[in-house]
Amino acid sequence: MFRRRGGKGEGLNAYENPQQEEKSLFPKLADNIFFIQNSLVHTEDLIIQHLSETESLFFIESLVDSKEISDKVLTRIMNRDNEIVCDKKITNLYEMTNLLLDGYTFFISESMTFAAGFNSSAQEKRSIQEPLSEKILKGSHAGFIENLDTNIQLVRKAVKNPKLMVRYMTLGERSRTKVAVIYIEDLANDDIINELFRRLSYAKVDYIQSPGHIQEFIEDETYSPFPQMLNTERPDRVVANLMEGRFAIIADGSPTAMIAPINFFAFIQTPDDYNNRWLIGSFLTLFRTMSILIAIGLPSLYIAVVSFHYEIIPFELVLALKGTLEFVPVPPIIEAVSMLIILELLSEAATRLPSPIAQTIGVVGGLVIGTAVVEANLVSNSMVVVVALTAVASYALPITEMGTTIRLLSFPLMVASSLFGLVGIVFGLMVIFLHLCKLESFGTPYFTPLAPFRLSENKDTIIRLPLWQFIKRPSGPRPKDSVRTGHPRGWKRDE
Amino acid sequence: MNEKSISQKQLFFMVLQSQIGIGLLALPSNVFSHSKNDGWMSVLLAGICIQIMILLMWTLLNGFKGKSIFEISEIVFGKYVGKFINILYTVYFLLVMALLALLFANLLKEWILGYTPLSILLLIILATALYIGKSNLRVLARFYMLTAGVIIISIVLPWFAFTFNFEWAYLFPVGQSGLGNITMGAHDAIVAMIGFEIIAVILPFVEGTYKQTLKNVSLANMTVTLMYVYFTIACYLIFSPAEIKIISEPVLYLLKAVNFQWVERLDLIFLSIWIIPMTTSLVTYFYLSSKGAAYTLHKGQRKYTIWYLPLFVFILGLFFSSEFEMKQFSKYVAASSYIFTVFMPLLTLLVSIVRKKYNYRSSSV
Repeated sequence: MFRRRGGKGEGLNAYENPQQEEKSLFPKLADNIFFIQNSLVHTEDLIIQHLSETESLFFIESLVDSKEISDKVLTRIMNRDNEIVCDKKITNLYEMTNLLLDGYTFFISESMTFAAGFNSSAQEKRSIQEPLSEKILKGSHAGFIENLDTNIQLVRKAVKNPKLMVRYMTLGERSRTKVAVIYIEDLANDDIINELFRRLSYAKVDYIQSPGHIQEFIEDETYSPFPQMLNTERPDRVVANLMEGRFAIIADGSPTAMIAPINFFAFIQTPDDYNNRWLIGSFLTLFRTMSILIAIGLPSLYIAVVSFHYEIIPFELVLALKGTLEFVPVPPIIEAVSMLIILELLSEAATRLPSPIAQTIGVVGGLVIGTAVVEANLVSNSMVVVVALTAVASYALPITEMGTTIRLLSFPLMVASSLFGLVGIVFGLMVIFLHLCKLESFGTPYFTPLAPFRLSENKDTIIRLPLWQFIKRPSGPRPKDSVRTGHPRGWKRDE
Repeated sequence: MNEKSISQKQLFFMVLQSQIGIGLLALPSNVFSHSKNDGWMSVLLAGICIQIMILLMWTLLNGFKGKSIFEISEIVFGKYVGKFINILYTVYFLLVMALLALLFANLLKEWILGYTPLSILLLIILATALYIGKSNLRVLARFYMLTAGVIIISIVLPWFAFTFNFEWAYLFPVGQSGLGNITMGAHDAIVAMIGFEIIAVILPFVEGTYKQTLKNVSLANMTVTLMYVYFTIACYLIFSPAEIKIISEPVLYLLKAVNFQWVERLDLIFLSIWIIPMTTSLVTYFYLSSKGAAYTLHKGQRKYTIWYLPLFVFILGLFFSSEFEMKQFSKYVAASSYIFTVFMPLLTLLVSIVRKKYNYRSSSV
C-alpha cells in the first residue's frame, strides 16, 4: 500500500486525481449488488432495499438520515416519469462505493444506465461554540466544529469573496479523510501554494485524524521546538490570515485549522487586539511580549543571580533572598526544576480531569504543595514566586502551543545559567535567536519582521498601531497584491 | 553558489558587528600607553586608516565583480600560487579566530566565571560559535542585524556613569603627545577595529551595485569609529591619567562604580550584553576561515571545515596558559593583520594590473 515514491516531482498533482479504478455498472442488478457487497466487505449496516425485481436502493444505515430517505429519496423515485431527479449520476462502481461511505443513497434500476445518487447523509454535529482554548473578550465568539462543511461555511460567511478558493483532497489511504485547503486566489503566492501541494502529495499515510497529523509531514523543521503552523479554532483568525495571503488547512472531523506560512509574532496576537482601541491593543500586546521574556528568562535569571551574581542585586535584596534560601538544602537549579515539574503535573492533571475533581487538584496544588513545600524548607519562598510568575506568564500567551514551547525552552536555559550564570543565559539566548533566524515556514522567514528586520512591518508585532496605518500587507507570505487599504482617514484631509 | 544573497542594510550590520568586539574593552588603556589623553585622536586616525584599507580592498574586489578574494587570488596568481595564498589567508583568519576566542575566554574567566576552567569556557564559546557559524550567509545576516539592537543598549549604559564626577580637564591639552605618539596609538586601535575583511568574501553575495556596498561599508566603519571614540572619551573623562594606566579594561570599570536602587554592578550586565558583539566577530572569522578552507580543500563545501576548525582552535587554546604567551600571540596576529589587510590586497591589485587581469570597465559601472 505504501509504495515509496522514487524521484522528485513524480508525486506532483497525484492527490488531485486519486488513481481510481474504473468499473462501470453491470447490466444485471444482481451483479451490481454482489459487487457492492463485496467491496464493502459484506458489512451489516449496508442496507439493500429491493423496491422491485429490477430496482434496488443502497445505503449505509449508520451514515444516513432515515428522514431524508423517506422524504426525499423515495418521493423522487416514486414521482419520476422519464428522468429521475437526483444529486449525482454515477456509472463507476468504485466511485459509488466511496459515495456510499459519504452517506449517499443510491438507486439502481436495470432500466437506467447509471446509478442515481442522493445526498442523504446524517448531519450529526454539535452547535457552534466559542473555542475553549482561545477565548476572547471582544469580537466574534464563533468557533470551528468537527464538521468540515460547517467550518468552510463559517469562513465563507466572513469573506464573501469570489476569489476564495477551496481545494479538497482526500488524505489517509485507509481513513480517507477529507481535507480542505483554503486560500484567496488573488492574494496567496502561487509558489507557496504549489509548494504546499507538492509537500502534501508526499503525505501518504494510512490514517489522518486532524490537521495536526498532516502538520508534521509538511512543516519545514520538525525538530524545531517552535510551531511553524498556527493551529486555531477561530474562524476570525483564519479569515484575518487568509486576507494576508496565507492559506489554511481544515480536515473533516477536527475543529482545528492550520495556518501557514506563519511568523513568530502571529502567536502572540489575538483578535482582541484589533477589536479594541489601538492603545489598549498595544498595551496588551506589549504585555504578552513581556510575558514571553518572563516565561523564558525569569527562572534562569533568578538562578544566575542567586548562584553566581549576588553582587548584581542591591544589598537589601540579597539579605531578603539569603533569608529565604538559607535553610534550603538543594541548589537553586534543583529547586526550580522540581517546582516546574510539580507545576506541569498539576496543570496536566487539571486538564484531563473532569472539572469537579480538577478543583480539588487546584486546592491540593496551591495550598498543600505550595505552602507545605516552603514550610518544610524544601523550596525557598522566592523560588515559588519565580515559578508561579513564570507559569502565569507562559499561560498568558493566546496560543497554548507557543506557551508550552516557551516553557520548554526555559529548561535548557536554566541548566545553562546554573552552569555559567549570566554568560550561560546569553549564550543560550543567542542559540535560540539564531534558531529563530534560521527557521522558515514554507520558505518565508519565521522571525520576520525582526529578522530580516523590516521597520515598516513592525506595526503589529510588539505594539499595534491604528489600523489605518496598515497600508500594506506583511511581505512575509509574499502576497500577490500588497496594498491593503486606501486612505480610510482621507475624509480628514479633504475637509 | 549555495549562499543566498543579502541586502545592503544587512551588509552594513554585518560589517558593524564584525568590527565591534572584544577590542573595545581594553582599547582606552591600550591606546593611552602611547598617546596619553589624546587617545581618542588615535582612534579617529585608526578609523581613517581602516577606511583606506577598505578602499583598497574594495578597489581590488571591484575589478573582479562577483568574485571573492579566494577566487581572485587564483585568477591573478595562477592556480598553485593562488592556492598557497588562499591557505595563508585561511590560516590568518583562523589565527584571528583563535585569538578572539582565547581573549574572550580569558575575559570571562577574569570578570565573571573565576572558578570555571578556561578550557570549559573555550568549549562553550566555540560550541556557540560553531552553531551560529555553520548557518548560511543569509541567516548570519539576519542574526547580526537582529542582535545589533544590543549595541544601542551598550551605548546608553555609560551615560549612567556620567552622573558621577567627570573632568573635562583630563582631555586637555589636546595634542600634547605629538603626532608620532598618536600614530603609534593608532596601531593599537586598528587591532581592535579589524573585522572589515569580511567584505572580501561576502561582497559578491550582496544585492545592488558595488558603489552602494562601498557606501554602506564605509558607513559601518564610521559608526564603529565614532562609537569607539565615544567610549574612549568617556573613559578619559572619568578616569584620571594615573588611573587609566593601572586598569586593564576601563570600559568595564566605568560601569562598575555605578549602582541603582535595583541593579548594582552594571559592568557585569554590560559584559553579558557585550558577549553578543564579541561572539559575532568571532563567528565572522570562523565563517571566513571555514569559507577559505572549504574553497581551497573541499571544493567550496563547508560541511567538514565547520567541524575541524573549531576543534583545531580548541586544541590550540589549551596550549596557551600564561598571560605572557597570550600577549605574544596577540602581538604576532596584530602584525600579521597588516600583511593580510594591506600588503596582500595591494600586491594582488598590482599584479592583476600588471598581468592585465584587472577589469577596468566593470569598475566604472
